[in-house]
Amino acid sequence: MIRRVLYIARKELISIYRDKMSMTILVVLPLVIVGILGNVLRFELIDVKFALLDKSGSNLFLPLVSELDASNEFSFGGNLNSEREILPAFINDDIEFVVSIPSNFNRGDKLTVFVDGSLLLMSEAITQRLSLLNSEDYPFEISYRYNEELKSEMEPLPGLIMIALVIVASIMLSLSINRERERGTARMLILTPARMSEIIAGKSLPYLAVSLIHGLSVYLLSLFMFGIEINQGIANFFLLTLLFSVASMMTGLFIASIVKNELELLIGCWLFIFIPNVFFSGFIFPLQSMESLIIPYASLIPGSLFIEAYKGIVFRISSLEINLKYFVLLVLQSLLFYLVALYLFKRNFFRK
Amino acid sequence: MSDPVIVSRRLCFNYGSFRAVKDLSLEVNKGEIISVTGANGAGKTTLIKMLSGILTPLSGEVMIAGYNVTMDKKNAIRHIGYMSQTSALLTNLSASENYKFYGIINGFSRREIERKFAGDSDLFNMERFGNKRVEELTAGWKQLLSFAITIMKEPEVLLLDEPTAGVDAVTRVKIWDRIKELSSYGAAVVVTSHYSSEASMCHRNINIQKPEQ
Repeated sequence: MIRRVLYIARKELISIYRDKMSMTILVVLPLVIVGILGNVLRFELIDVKFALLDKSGSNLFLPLVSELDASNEFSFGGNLNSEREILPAFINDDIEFVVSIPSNFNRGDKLTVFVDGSLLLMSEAITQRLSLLNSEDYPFEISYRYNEELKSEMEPLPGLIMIALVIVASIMLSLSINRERERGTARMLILTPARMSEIIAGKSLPYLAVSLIHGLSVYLLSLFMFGIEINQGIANFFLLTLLFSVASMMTGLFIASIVKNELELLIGCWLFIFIPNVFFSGFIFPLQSMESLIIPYASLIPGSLFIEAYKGIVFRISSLEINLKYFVLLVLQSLLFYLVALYLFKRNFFRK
Repeated sequence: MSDPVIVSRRLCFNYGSFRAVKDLSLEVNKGEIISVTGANGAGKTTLIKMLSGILTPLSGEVMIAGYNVTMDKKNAIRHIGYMSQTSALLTNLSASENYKFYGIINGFSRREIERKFAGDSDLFNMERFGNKRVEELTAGWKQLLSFAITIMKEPEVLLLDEPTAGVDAVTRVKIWDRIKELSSYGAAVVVTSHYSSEASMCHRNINIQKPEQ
């Protein structure tokens, strides 16, 4: 019996050794994941931007501003002149909190720190860090803008929607395309008058429709379960769902165009779609807590663009112009991945 | 007078370092049926794939109805009906849905598709399995359906890779009767087969030898 077990184990080892993909999964993948995630993700705040609203006109708080600015966690983002500028600063200038000093300030009075309540984890981390300051010199109270009731379900909601859309749009589409290629159906299709772009469009449309239905379900769930009303942002919300779904589908399409089989496809989806969108999108770890080198990349990931735009549209009710940059980036990424995938498919769609 | 519809010149193809086809030249005239035989791995399927444009030759060229398959694939494939060795049917659809799907993709109207399907159903008794899903069909029925789909557009060039593999004797005769009928209307046919009886029904036979490595 032992001899048989050992022989099966030997056969398995030889199979693993000779199969490049198995070797990659077993040896390289864990190293890459641990190496990259371990180096990139931090559980601390880095360069979180804040602004100062000094209604007292005194210079009493220069030491506080200097202390915060000098720390690794915070960086000074500018002065505000009135409370009306707080919300635009959150939306337009990436300000995460505002230290407000009341007029007629007397030593011992409380400062008000305005925090963006739609970024719950971030606002808690900021509060925690600020409480480490000398509380006798700078007593403060927190005032939340957006999500004043601090509904905790608001924090993960955009990320969860994003993941659901990614699975439907990119992973299911790419699996379907690859399956068709592996079964040989693609060969038959390609020998018909149908152009590659028509095949891709035809295969994508059902997944796009399902994604939009999910968008609608999310909207209704948010409304009836969490009491989150989108109101005037509803058109923007569906536009965002549409553009994000298309971007995800095109990423999946691109991965399907470079892999040879389903295993490679799943690894590709895992590495290039799932891990970035889950870990680098701000869903679990705030972007500001990541290694500075990775932040520009992380902020361009479709998942990051979706989460940022969703928070803007749903929680802060920001206008189309404010979210335009996210929409444009999603469209550009979709185009880029589509064109590359189209080129690669034309070259090797029916290599099976 | 010869009227070649399929012309291949000095075709070569490698899979990695393995030489699958070497310097293969071929001319098939209008109305001619050519069988391609040879041992496993001799390059029969590779040849059919190169003729259909699925594989791009390492060197050499293929002309189909005057169009270069590599350079002018769009025009060349309009004239080709290709049936692969493995079923290329859509497994979640029924036999009739598969037929309709490929009919629409090939640009036929619904009425034309229905007429053609009725004709093929009469010929091949497809009504037996028309409503069954492909995954429920026997190997022979799948072959029949694939063949019916391949000849739907009555192509000038018919490239068939073992069209009767796994098919019973009666169905095999029906398929061959249809191949001969299409040939009598002018279709040039290249068919690979392991059956010497099938090779003997063709106008010419090409026996491919494994190229020296």
